[in-house]
Amino acid sequence: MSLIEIENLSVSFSSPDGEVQAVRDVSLTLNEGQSLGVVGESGSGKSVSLMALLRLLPAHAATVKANKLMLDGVDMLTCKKDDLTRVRGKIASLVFQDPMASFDPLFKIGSQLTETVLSHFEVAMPEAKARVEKMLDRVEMPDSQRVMSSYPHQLSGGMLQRAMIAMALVCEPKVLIADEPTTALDVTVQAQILQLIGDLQEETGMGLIMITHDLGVVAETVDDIVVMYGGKVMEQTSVFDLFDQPRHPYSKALLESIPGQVAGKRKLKEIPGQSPNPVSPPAGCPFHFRCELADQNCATQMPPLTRWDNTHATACLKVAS
Amino acid sequence: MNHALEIKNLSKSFYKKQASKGFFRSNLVEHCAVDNVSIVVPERKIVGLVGESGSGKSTVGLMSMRLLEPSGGNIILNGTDITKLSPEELKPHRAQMQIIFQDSYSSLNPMMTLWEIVAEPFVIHKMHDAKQRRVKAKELLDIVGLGSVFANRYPHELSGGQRQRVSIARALALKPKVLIADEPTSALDVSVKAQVINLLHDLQSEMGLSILFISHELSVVRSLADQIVVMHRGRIVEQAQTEQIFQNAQHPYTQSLLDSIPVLNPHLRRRRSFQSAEELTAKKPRLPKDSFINPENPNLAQVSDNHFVDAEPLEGRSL
Repeated sequence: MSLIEIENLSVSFSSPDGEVQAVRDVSLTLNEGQSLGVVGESGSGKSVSLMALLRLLPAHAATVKANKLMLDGVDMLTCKKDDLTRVRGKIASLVFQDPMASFDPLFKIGSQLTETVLSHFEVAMPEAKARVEKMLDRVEMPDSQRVMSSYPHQLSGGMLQRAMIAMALVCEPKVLIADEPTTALDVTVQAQILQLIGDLQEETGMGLIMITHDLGVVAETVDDIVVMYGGKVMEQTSVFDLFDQPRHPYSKALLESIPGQVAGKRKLKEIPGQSPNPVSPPAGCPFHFRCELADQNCATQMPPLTRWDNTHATACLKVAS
Repeated sequence: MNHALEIKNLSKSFYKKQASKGFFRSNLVEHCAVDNVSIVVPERKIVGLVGESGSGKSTVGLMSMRLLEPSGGNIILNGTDITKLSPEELKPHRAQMQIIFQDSYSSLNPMMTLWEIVAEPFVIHKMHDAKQRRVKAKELLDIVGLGSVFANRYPHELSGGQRQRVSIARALALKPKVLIADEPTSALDVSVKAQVINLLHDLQSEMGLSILFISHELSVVRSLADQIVVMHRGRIVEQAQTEQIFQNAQHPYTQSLLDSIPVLNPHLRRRRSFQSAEELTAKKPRLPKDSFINPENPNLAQVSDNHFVDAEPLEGRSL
């Protein structure tokens, strides 16, 4: 059974300039044990899609529309508030980019982690503490006793992110959603955290969604990839196919523009222009005015997501034909 | 070859108060953010200064601009020692050296239009009349690829990449010889990052700039820099030509940095083993005594022509 089923999700925010269409008609699924990378630039709608799934967007500002929004058999569109708290953390939990902002600065790490256990399981304090300690050991936290009695500001970014991952996994969720978990970290710490997430996923068999702008991160961690741009899905494929033979012009251009792939000081292949304005997105393909292959049709016609086979789909008029 | 910017034995200590006995008595604890660092930026070259957060790389950048007073050492700009100059004496030299910061949002005044921002260096250095300043500012906006249509807009109307272009235009206004770029591409999206890197590339060759490019992104530095200096905990651990670093790194810390870069090929996924910084420094290379030829930095041993590495001296002569 699919853990996550999102069908035709659209999210818009009201702003003084007009309606911001952050996510437009996005569908994606995640099976048990699958790892999926959602790749895109800022404003591509990658985070908002999954925040919408967990119903974490403020109801007064965001309009969420979808044909189907299922998380492990729970219909998130009609889910009541009490049920939401049960789903979040226990079925799906989140790791954010900035661990410093995600912890409460006034409480010790230990008490914040045990609180998570106490609110989801009917266990006594000593049992909760034991679970937290076990989890901290599993995320290879050095000196876990000291960490338990530390405040967030006393830990380094890498250690806090480990604590954040421990907090996310302490209720043994079926899916972990990691939103740019390593963007704020140094390269060496990033490599450690990515390896840790990969190991934990293998051990527990949980599903993993890795939201990132960094193609290097997905190349190291996930099996399947969704490439988003301008609030739309551009390409859906396996990680090997994306790097071996990217089909969508955007995916291709993105891969080519990454610096440092070859030796020597040289100019890079750049993508001209900038991302589309989400307030008035172009009528056709959101990438058309930066695309080398684009013609008249691309400017007026929204390309449908064309399936190649079970795992591959591309939204491009040029590639489909 | 002439040196555009030379920093010699630069050090910076910060002092942190640590309470000891009693309320009014406290000890000052010294924290050495930059420890005896010497870097040369040759004319028309780009030197990449690489390190993790806390390595002291930005502190070196700020001190080179004299935006932060060094605790020791010298800064030599185009042959002039600017370390001890008073603010008035420094002003003409400042025009020759400019800086770009990582966060283009906080480094542009939100109350000024783009042409005013770009023309401000002219105002400060009392150059040109009002009309000319406007014309020059528009030219500069053209050079960085924004176009003069942007002249009357405000910073908040721009995207991150465009704002970074404005920072670059402002830095170029006085036709500086030396540019210090402190993580200018770190906050940018992948597709825009390549644009800004290419822009720096073009400007460097067209205007003959010498650039000290500070970054934690080794991949960006590889496609831009001629030489790389690697810093760790305030000290230089290795310096060499860019490809020397990438293909023949000698110091275990440099090797671990290179090893941590995500590989853009899922077929080559592998498990990494990690070592703490202490373990890595303990394993630093041991080299014969007579390869420590640099009197300015006695910790660095010469490996080949321009390749220096932080090493432990070995008794005896080299073979």
